[in-house]
Amino acid sequence: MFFMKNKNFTLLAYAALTLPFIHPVSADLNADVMAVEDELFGEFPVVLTATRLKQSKSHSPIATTIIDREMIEASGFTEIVDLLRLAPGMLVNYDSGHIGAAGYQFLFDRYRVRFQVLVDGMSVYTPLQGEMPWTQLGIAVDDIERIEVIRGPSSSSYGPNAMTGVVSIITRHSVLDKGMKFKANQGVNGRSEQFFTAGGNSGTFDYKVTLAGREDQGFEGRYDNKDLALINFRGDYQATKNDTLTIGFSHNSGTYGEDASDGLNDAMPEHNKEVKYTSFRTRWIHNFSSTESLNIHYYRQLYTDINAYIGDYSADGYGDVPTNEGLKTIRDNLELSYSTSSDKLSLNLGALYRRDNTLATEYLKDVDRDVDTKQVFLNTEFRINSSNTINLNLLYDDNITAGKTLSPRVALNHHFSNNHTLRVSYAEATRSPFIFEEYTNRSVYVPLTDKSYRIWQDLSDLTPEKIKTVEVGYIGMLNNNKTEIDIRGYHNKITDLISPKWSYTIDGSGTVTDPGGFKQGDAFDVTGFEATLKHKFSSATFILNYANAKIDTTRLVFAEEVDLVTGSPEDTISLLYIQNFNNDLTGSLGYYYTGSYQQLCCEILQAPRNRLDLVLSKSFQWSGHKSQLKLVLQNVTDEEISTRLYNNYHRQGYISFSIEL
Amino acid sequence: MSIISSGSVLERNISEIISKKFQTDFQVVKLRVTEVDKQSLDKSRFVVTLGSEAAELVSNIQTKSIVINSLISTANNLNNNSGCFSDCYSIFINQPVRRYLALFKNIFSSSHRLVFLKSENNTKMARQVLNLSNQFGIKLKQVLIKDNENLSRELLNTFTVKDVLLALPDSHIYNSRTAKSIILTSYHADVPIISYSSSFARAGALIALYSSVENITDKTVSVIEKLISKGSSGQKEYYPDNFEVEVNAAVARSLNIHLKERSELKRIIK
Repeated sequence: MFFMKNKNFTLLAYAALTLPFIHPVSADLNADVMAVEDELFGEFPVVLTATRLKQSKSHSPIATTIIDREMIEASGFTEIVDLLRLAPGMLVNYDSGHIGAAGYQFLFDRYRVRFQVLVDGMSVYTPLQGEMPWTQLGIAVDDIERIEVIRGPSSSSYGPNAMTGVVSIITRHSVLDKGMKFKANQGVNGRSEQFFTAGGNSGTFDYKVTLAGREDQGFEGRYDNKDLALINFRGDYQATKNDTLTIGFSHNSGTYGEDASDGLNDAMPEHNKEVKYTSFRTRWIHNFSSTESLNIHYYRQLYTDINAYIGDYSADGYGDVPTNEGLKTIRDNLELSYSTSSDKLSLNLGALYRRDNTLATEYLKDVDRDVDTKQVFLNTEFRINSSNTINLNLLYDDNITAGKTLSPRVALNHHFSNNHTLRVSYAEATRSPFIFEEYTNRSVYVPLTDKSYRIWQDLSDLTPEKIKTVEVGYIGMLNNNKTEIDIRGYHNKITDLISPKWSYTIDGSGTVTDPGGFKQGDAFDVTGFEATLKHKFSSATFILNYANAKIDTTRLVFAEEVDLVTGSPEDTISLLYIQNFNNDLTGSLGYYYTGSYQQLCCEILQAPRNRLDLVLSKSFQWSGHKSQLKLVLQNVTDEEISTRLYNNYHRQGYISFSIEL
Repeated sequence: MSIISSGSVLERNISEIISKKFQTDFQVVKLRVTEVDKQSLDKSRFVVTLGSEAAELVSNIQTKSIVINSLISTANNLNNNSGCFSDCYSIFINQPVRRYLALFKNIFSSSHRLVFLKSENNTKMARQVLNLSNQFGIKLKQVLIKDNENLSRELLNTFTVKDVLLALPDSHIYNSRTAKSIILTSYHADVPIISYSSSFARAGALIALYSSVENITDKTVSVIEKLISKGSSGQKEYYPDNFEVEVNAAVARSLNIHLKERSELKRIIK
C-alpha cells in the first residue's frame, strides 16, 4: 500500500524491473560459441560480480581497514562495537553496559554518530538522534564475514552521514555455513550466551538461520543489565546462471536496565526498557556478463524503543513527572545501481530513495515525522596507465532536513611499483540534521502544575554539517607481500557544527525562558596521522594500529574549547597477535590503548586506558563432531579508571564451547 | 571413416569440420550413438568418436577399426583405451597438468604454495600434480576431499598466506553447486584460483587455461592425418597443441595481482 501511494518508489521500481530487459544480450550467453569445456564440465554462475569485488587497497581512493574473520575470532569480542577497536582511529566507549558508542577521530557523546554504519548495505543508525543501536542489531558476531572500515569522508559514495567514514558490516554468505552448530558462552558478570546456527540448501537455494540468546549484568554498580534474543535468516537463491536473489530477515528483542550514574540525572529511577529491532531485505543482482551487473536492493527496518518511567523532580518542585523517552522508527529504502568495468575504467552508477518515519512521544511531541531522501551517485575509477589511477566520486542528495547537497571526491593513486602506492585525495562530505535536531519539540507534562513545558525547542534553522578533507596515504607491500604498511595523514576542516544545548531554564511563572535545543555555527579542524603494520609469519599474524589526532578549536563560536578539544585522545594503539601453535590450538593477544579524552556523559576527561585481552582456543573431535573450546580473558591487568559512568570492566572472561552437529 | 557423436550442437559442428577435411580421402559416415552397430563400424578404416558417450559405446562394441576418441576428459575415468580392441587413440579435452604448473610458476613467486583438492575420482591427476610439482620445485599442499558438503571449512582450514588454488576437472569437487562456496571462500582468503574452464574464470577464478573447439578439432584432424601418412603410432594419448588463456581482469585487480598480457603468457607456457 505504501508503494501505491508513493510515486517515487513506483517509478524507481518500474525502471528497475524493465531495465534488464532492454539491455542487449551478451555474447557470453550465446550457446553456439560456448567453449567446449563449458558444455562438458558445466557452466558456473558468476559469483564475483562487479558489485561484489572489493577494490584493492592500492587502487582505492580512501584508506580502508578490513577486519576479517580471523581477526574477529582471535579478538574474543562478543559485542560488535568492540570489533571497531581493530581499526586505527576508531574510538569505542560505553554509556552503559548495553549502550556502546563509537566514533572516528573524535567521540563527544553517544548520539550524532558522524559515520555511516551499514549491515549488508542497510543503513542502521536511528534517525531521531543519529544513535547507533549496536546491541540491538539483528546479527551475532559469528554472522559477520568481515567489517570494512572506510576511514575518511565518504558522502560521495554513501551519502550524508558518512561524514567521517563508513563502517560496512558484511555477513557470511549462506553457502559457507552448512550443517548445524551450537555455541555457548558462559562468563563472569552474569554473561550467558547461546547461539544456534543451521545452514542448508534446497537445489540452488542456500539458507542459514541463527538463533541467539544473550544476557549479562552490565557494569558493576550500575543497573544496566541486558537480556535479549535474536533471529537472523539469510537465503541466497541462484535463480539462473546470471541472476542471484538474496533475502534476509532479522529480529532482535530485549529488555535493558536503565539508570543514571553519579548524579547525571537524579530524577531518573532505575527501570527497564524494551527495544525491538526488525529488518527485512531483498537484493537482486543480474549479471549481463562477469564485468557488468545490475543491483536492486530494498529493505525495511522497524525500531521500537519503549522507555517510559516516572521521573522524580521533587527537588525542583515539580514532583513526579511521567517521562517517555521511547520512539518508533520505520525506514524504507530502495536502491538501484549499475556497475561495469573494463581494462581502463570501472563505473558504478545508481540512485536511492529512502523514507524515514519517526514517532517520538516526548521528543517530537507526538508528531509523526517523515524524512524523504533522494540520491543519485556516480563512482568511477580510471586506470590511466599502469602507474596511475584516478577515482572520481560524486553524490547528489536531496532530503527534507538538509536540502540539496553535492559531495565530491577526487583521488590520484600513483603506483611506484606493484608494491608501493602513494595516494592523494580531496573530499567533501556532509551530515544532515537528524530528525530531533531539525524538529526539536521536547515537551513534558507535569501533573503537579497541570502544565506542559516545551523544554527543548527549535533554536535555529539548521543546515548540514560540512567537512573538507585533504589526505595523503601510502600503501606498501614488503617481504614478498607478507608485510603490509598502510599510512595516512589528513587535515579535516569541519564547519557548521550542530551542537546540543542541554540546559534549559523555567522561570517562576512556569515559562521556559531559555530552552534547550541545537545551535549551529561552530567549526574546528582535525589533523591526524594513522598507520597500520600487518605481518604474516608462517604460523602467526601481527597487526599493529596507531592513530594520532589533534583538534584545533581556534574557530569556535559557541562551544567552549574544552567541549571539543577533549573529544579526541591524542594517541590510540591497538595490537593483535595471533599464533597458530598447531592445527588445533590457537592463541591470541590483544592490547588496546586509548589516550585521555572526554567521557561520554560530560566534558570531564578520563584517564588513559590500557586493556590486555588473551584468547586460547582448542579444536577437537567430540563423539565424532568437530568441537572447539575457547577461553577468553579480558582486561587481564584489571585496570580501572575513575569515570562518572562507572563504565569499567574489571578483569573478566568467559568460556566458550561450540560443536558442529 | 565413421564419426560417432551423441548429436549435440557442439559435436555436430566438430563432426562437420572433420568430415569436410577428409571427404576426399574417405567416404565419411556420420552416425549418432543410437544408430551404431559393429557391422557398420567394421567397414570403416577409422572410427572417430566425439564425447564420452560415443567413446564408451564404441569400446563396448570392440570394432577392429582404428578408433580415435576425441572430446574426452582425463578425469572421471573417461579414458577408454583400456577397453580398446584394436588400435585406439585419445585426444583429451583438458590441457596437460604440466601447462597449469608452468602457468603457476610464471605468475607467482617461489614463496607461493599451490593447493590442490583431490578426490577418489582423480587420483591419477593428483599423482601427476605431485610428480610435476616436485619436478618444477613448486611447494604443494594436497587435500583429500571425501565429502563436498563442507568444502568451505576444508578450504579455510587449509589456506595460509600466499596460497593459490589449482582447480582441475573433477565433478565431485568442482560443479555448479560447489563453485560458489569455493570461489567465495578463496576470494575472502585472498587465494586466487587457476582454473580449467573459461566459465570458471568468468565466475570468479583469476585465470583459466583451456582448450577451445578449434584447438581440439585441429588436434583431432592432425592425429588422423598422422595416422594416415605414417600408420600406427606408439603414442596413444594426445592433448591439444594449442590452448586458450582467459584472465578475469577484475579479480586480478581486486587481488592486486599483476599479470602479463595473455599472448605473452601463452607464448611462455607453450
